[in-house]
Amino acid sequence: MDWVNAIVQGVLLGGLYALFAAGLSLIFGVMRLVNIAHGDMIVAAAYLAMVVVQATGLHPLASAVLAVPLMALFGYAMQRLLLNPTIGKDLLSPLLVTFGISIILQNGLLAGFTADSRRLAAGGIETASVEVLPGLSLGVLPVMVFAASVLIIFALELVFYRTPLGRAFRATSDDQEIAQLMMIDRRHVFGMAMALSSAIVAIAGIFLAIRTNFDPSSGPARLLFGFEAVIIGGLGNLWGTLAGGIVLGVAQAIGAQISPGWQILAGHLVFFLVLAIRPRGLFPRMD
Amino acid sequence: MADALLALSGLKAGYGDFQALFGIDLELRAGETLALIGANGAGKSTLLRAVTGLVRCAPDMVRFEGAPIGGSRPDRIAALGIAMVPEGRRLFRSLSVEENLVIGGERAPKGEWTLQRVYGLFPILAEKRRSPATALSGGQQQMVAIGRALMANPRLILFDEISLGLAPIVTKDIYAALPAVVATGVSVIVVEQDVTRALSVAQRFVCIQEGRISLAGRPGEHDRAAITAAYFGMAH
Repeated sequence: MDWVNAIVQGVLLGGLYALFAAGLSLIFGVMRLVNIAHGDMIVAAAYLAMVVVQATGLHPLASAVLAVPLMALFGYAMQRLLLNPTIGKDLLSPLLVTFGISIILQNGLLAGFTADSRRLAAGGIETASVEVLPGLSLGVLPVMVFAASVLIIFALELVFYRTPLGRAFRATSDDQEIAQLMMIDRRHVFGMAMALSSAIVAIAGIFLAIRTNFDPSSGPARLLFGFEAVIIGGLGNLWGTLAGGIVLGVAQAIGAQISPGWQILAGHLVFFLVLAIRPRGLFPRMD
Repeated sequence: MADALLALSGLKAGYGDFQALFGIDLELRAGETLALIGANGAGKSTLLRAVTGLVRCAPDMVRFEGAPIGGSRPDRIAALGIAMVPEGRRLFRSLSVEENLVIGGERAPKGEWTLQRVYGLFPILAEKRRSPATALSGGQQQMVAIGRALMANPRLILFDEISLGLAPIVTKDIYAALPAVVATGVSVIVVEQDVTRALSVAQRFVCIQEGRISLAGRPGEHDRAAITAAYFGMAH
């Protein structure tokens, strides 16, 4: 039962990693940009949720009402003002800009909130659990996170394949030059992609804040897990990203079951293995 | 000048250090079909790219309905009513046939050209509407590219090498569709290496050689030897 338990918890943890990864996958899919600041944006969103909760007295989950639109706005502005001026020349310049944003966010958070680690209390849901089988209980929060990540990926697929904005995303991803001839303003399309990604980042940040301790330097590890989930799942495939998150989560849970010190390493080893055997990931959809 | 739909004056353009066009003067009236001919590398595609904003140039080098548009953003120029059928078709490969057509028109003003009319012009596309655009044959892909441009209900359409890489019989089918396009009153610039084909659909032609106009006139006005000389740059 210990092993079943480990695997089930790992699957649920995978939901959180998929949440970290979904926005990353979206940005890479639309503009071939690896957003190095993605993890730090998640942590910034966690602080934002904390500030919202302190200022309004809202429940941490309800802080999404403010945190999601604020992060989306931040993402749109960041793309239009900082990243768009660098696109089109080469792939390195926007990458370096996101690296700079990452450093600024980390140090900005350090200056504003100190290095103390924080956590958002959510009235008991973070520790509540339901025993589904003798010896196997599911945490309420992990189940919520997993459900949220499935819902978000489902919604993203709808946007991508059923709306004019999604068509513009895919067309711009296929051929930027010709997309412009379709009267598509790529600066706006990129802005919308970053806004959507940042909205998901806000939700990931809130769940992160409730689930674990965080501090200004927590970002890079979230980026790494998200990045690994994207690569394991296969580029350009959002459901693949969920699968990648689950593979990573299960690997970590099994590693932890073997020995606590093996948790993170086991995840990286599986990532390395997938990269070595299937360099394009398990379910690639993009060339 | 005032009644020209498109006017190029002293158009110079190129890529980085490489200059492809050295002062092109050209006018196109509303409803007119112009053939732009010339050898490989003469600068025909660069001219189309300058008109659509994909290559930069000075504002008053390209005027559309009298307004300077040279160097404007491509999406802004497209919104004025200039559509292009690009060389090599360049369909969006992650979009279905129908989505490729829809995206051509969804930001444009409504007009004569609708999904139904494009399917009327190219019935095979209605059958393949759900297929990925890249699953089609070359000729069918060219039909999608033409339909995509028509969906914008443009005032001016630029056709860049639409026969390139297609079998002669397929090219004939594609060209058979052009009269239906022109009949709607749209102005057309046809870029072709196949001179006979281009001259057969145009009221006027311009021949470019090494970035300069080497000959212009009406089909039939010049004999083949003159056109050949203007095309290849040989003395005659």
